[in-house]
Amino acid sequence: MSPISSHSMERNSDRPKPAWLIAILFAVAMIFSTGVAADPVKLLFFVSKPTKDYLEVLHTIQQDLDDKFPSKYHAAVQFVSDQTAYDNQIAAANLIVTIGTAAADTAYQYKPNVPIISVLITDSSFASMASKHYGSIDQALANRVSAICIDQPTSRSIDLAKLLLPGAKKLGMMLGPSSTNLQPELTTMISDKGMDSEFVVIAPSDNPIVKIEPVMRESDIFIPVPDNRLINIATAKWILHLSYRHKVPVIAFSRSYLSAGALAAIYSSPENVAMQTSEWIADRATSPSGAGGAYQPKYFSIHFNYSVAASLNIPLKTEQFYRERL
Amino acid sequence: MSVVPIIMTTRAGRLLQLSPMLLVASQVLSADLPDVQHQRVLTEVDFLVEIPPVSGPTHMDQTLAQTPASVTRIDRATIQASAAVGLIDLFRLVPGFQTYFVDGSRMGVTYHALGDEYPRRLEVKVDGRSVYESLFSAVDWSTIGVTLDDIETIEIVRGANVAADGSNAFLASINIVTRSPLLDSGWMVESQLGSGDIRNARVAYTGTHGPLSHRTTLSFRSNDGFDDVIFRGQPISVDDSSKNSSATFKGLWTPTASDSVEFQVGLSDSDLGIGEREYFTRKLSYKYQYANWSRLMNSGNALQMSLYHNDLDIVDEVTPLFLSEALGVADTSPYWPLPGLPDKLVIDDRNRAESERWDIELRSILTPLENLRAVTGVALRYDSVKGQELFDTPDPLSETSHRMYTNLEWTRSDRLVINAGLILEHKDSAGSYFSYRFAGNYQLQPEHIFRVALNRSFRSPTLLESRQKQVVRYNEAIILDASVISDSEINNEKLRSIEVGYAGYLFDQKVSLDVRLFREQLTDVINERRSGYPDLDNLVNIRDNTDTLDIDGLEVQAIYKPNQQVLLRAHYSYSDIDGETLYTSSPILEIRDLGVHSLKHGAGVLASYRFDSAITLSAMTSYNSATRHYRGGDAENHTRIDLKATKSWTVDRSSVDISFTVQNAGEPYRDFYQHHQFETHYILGFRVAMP
Repeated sequence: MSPISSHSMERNSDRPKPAWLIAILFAVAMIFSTGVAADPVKLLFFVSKPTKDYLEVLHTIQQDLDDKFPSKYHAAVQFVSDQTAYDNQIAAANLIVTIGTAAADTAYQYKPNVPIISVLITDSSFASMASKHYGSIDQALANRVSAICIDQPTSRSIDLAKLLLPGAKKLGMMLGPSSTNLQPELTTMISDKGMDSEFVVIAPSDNPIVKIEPVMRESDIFIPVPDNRLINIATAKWILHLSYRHKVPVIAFSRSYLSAGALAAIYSSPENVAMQTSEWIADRATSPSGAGGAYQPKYFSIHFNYSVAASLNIPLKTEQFYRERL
Repeated sequence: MSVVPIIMTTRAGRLLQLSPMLLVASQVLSADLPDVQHQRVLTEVDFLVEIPPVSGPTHMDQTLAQTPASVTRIDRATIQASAAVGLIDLFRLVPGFQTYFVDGSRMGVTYHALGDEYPRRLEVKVDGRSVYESLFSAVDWSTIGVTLDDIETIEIVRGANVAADGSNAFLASINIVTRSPLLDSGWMVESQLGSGDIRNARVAYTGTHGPLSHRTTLSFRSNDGFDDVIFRGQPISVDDSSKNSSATFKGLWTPTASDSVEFQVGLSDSDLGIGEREYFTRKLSYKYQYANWSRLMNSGNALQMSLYHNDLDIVDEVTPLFLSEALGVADTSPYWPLPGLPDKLVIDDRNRAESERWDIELRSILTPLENLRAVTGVALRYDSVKGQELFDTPDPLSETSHRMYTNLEWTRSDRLVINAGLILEHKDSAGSYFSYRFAGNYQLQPEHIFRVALNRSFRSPTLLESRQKQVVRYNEAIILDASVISDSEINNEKLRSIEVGYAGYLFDQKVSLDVRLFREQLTDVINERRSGYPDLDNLVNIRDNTDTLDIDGLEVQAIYKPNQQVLLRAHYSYSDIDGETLYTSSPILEIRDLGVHSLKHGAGVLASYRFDSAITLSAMTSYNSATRHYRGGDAENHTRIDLKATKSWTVDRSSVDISFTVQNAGEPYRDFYQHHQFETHYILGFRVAMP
């Protein structure tokens, strides 16, 4: 045996072989490049109630995430109306999505250590829930609570009014107990559009016809600002009847208002809410830490009642035309 | 909700009869007091709230997917597009409905069967107030004081709607919703002049008086009825002209955002020529008062209370008749049937009858669970009739009836909605009985709904049906002639029905389609049977449960309305009656077939087009196959075509319409009686609205 071959043998037994090293390095690279080893993001959906709008938001989010990111998310769903304890579910979640105010109320009380995104919730109820459970909106945001509110900015309805009736000089607007504080701001918005404003504030104890009729009579177009449920339902019929009498178009805040006789409606549909939510969830995956945020609705639905438009002699352009300008 | 025993007869008992109402009201109000503290925080529930359209057959706001019956809606646009001149012309647009003129004054509307001079099995309401008259056991269309311009919508439920509207809605129900005073302002003047001495006029004023919105209407309608004829070689002077004047007032007050109060008063006077071969004058005087209070709760629940009073006075001016004239025998003749007794006046020149109704109803509309809605109500009704000639007594006859009902709508899933309706009724004369409806709606796709419905209904006899004793007397002891006597043990009519329906939209919602396939089994149907009787002609008609019939049918309704200019409505109905009636019970038993009264095929089309020049052309066609009217004559198959052209102008803010209508542009056809031929009529109309 030569001295070289024996040294070679000793050298081979003392150091790792290069092929094994390469194989290990290759495997690690595979894992990090494909993320195969990462667990699915565990989403926990809290849903206020198993009814149409809430379910539509839930299913649309799930479907959208499944389509765009197959197997990336695992969803568990709890209905708040089930009234059970949710400690285990919350502990297992990476991200909590609450759909509706009651769901937000339930989730916040656990003060979970994971981000929460609240959707299908209004500005005021998010503020209320945040104050109730975290002390303030800022504190809630600092605790990684976020919200996508459904309140469409009234400025959008005002802009639509001007687009529908470019010659409109006076815009009538109905406010309720929850929206009366917006009057100064709305006056400015309407004035910026070259229109005068006439407001009527309806309280539950008011005679709605006596108060709305003079404003409707003097207006070229009318916008009821959404308020509490009672005011919305109670005044809708009188608004639409008076609008018919005075031939004043109404821009409403819901599809059913449109079907009942408004000229146009601009609102956040469950689909709009779901789209924005699934985008937020997908973005969140790339920056999981950080404070929460409160977001205005990015998307909106707009529909027209063509029968009403014809009876009022209002020519309508395409939906795309209005959408591009709002 | 606990149930207080409802069989009470004392005055204190009648007060206690109201206690179920008070209990319902208190529970609804206490469970859901309006939030007098302003709610500052809005939730998504406030934004997503459904704004209700109009209420459906169950008195809930229901979509196509939720409605448990086939419904035909005739809206304002359809009324204006149609060639209708009077209210009953609109029912030619409804599959399965028969409309006819008994004579120039009396109009009949019935649903696929049993339409006689006074069709009885149809509930008709105006703004929730029943206009069904227990004196006729029917609706007198000349008295209800509603013209075409008063109407906002008409909703017709095809099929038994007893569970929601009570036992008169035995075959179908009609709810006429009049226009809200908020929809118009100022004056409207309207007039129609036409052949057949058609003279119609209407003046209406809509305005406000402080917090009250109101509309006042005065109307006058007249025509000279059917023309004189020579029938089977005999001249018949058809004296069936009619004149009607009416005045109505409708007020609306909304004291708070939650509350609305509507009230109506009306009166009408009619002079009608009535008869088949011999005619007499009937004077009708009708008055009503109606009030309805609605309260909306924060949660969307609602409470309604309605109270109404109808009062009808009838005077028939007939040719007075002495017994000798009726018999053609002098009281000195040996053939005089009452030896020793002198001739006397046996039929007065004036026969008078009255009816009165009071009705109070309390209704709650609740959502006790997320997927469960309920309409629950209790009602108390007092009916009184009086008429010597009809009831053989100068004293009034009265009865009190109660009803409690609930209609539940359970949304079992996104696709399946279950409706269940139950009504418990109690009448002094008929005891207690309950009717129910059970329906399932399955939404195959968002715009295609299939429905299966079962109905079990009872219709109790009216005061006229249960207490009629129409006799001509010589004195207290001697009945000269008995015409109609009600059987003392007359029972409720019964109905079982099953239907399969489809309702849906096609072609991007431009076409709506409704199909109904049904079988109805009616038993103990009230009619008259001839029987022996110890009077001068030895015969009397006994009002009794004499008929049994099965009705199988199919109805199809399609509406195409792609835009404001075009309207096309079409319908077809098939119905086959298989049944029999006990025609004579003594001395000889005779049973007759009811199948001859089938209106096997009915069809109709309304086509209307509005040009840019504000000219509207409309054509209404209706076809009826041959039939025999129930207690009337044979009618051949016929097609009726009505045409209308309207031109509209806007002058300042006023609108002016001139119209020309041709009723029955084709050949004359026989209406209810064979010698009553509906000729072609030409009517010029003028209408101006000055806001």
